[in-house]
Amino acid sequence: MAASRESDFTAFYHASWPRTVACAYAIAGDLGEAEDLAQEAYSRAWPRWSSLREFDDPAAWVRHVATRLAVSRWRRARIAAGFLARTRAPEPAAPPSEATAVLVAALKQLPEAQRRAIVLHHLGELPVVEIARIEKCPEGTVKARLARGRAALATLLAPQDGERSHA
Amino acid sequence: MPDLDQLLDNLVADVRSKTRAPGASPAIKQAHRRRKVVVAVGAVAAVAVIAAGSVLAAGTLGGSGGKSSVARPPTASPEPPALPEAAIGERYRTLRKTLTSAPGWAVTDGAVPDYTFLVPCGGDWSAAGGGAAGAGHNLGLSVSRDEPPVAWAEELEGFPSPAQASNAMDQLVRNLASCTAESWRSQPIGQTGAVLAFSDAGVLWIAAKGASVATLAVATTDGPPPLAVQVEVAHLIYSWFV
Repeated sequence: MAASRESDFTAFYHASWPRTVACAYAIAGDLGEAEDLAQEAYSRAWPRWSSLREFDDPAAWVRHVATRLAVSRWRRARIAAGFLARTRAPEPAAPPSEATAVLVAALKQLPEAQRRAIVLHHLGELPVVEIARIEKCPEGTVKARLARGRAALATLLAPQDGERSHA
Repeated sequence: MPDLDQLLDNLVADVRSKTRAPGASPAIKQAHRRRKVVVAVGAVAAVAVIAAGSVLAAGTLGGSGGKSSVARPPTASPEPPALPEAAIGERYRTLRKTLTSAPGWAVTDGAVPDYTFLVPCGGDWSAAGGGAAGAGHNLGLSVSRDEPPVAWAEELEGFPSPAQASNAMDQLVRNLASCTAESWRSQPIGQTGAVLAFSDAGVLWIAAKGASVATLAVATTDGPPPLAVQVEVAHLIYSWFV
């Protein structure tokens, strides 16, 4: 029974890991740190796996926790001080592509609520209603944050006039 | 106009190709290790209680300056010393008994209390007064390994001084009061020096001592528990975590 529970969790872990890291990365802006945050989120999931596994989408819970961890600077500092130093792979992660780095930099310029909405909806694949529930706000507010966030990203990612003239 | 959906898809694909998962097994071990850490902290409780008593008797929270003299296990230790399972269970049972035996007040049945329910309102209180340089613990308190936590406790240590830890505690209380998603109120817990914050969703004990701040969160819709429970839990926090 315990072995089944662990193997079940392991399968879930590997299936959901990349997108969880992507969510944390979009908030934190550092891939190694995002891996640390994701691993921490999974360590929070394990003690409650018996109930989480019954959820429609247990990965949504993990992604929510990972992004919450990412927005808290002192939690990141604590994690870096302890847990992550023990579990992180010794070799550094390969850097993301330039396009990804530019996108993440733009995301970091958004107001936090808009950034979380964009990340949870577009990267975490959480429906608007679920984001509204965890953010404790109306669905309309989430939709507004998504719309404003996307508009702001489009502006931030658009080529500047100077760049166009050189293109 | 950039194709935002394509850029976001590319981000996921980029991360997928480059990330390396440490594995589920280390995550499980970390979850177990977290439970051991709280007991390791409890092992120095006798010293901590004495130190806390002198501070609390004066009605202040670390106003004398300087680092806490309470010995602590190194938080970055790869394997914190594990105490017998019976000792772990006893400490958790004490908290659970305190939280579940109050007449007219109950922990929300079936709820999974989680520190994250505070985050939308919390702000970065740890940055108050210079911020915390040290490590901390985040603990789900369960009686058995497979049982959901009845409460979440956190300790953040390593503030530059006790006064700054106290400032951080005050900042946390102020942040809760300004929260718009939840309406939080707060009140001192008797003469303990700890503060109780409460909303429609939960109750939060907040305590500072030395260069550390500790919180313990419980989901409840009953508001603040009886004063005796508030005080007993505050003392448990001081003895276990601070």
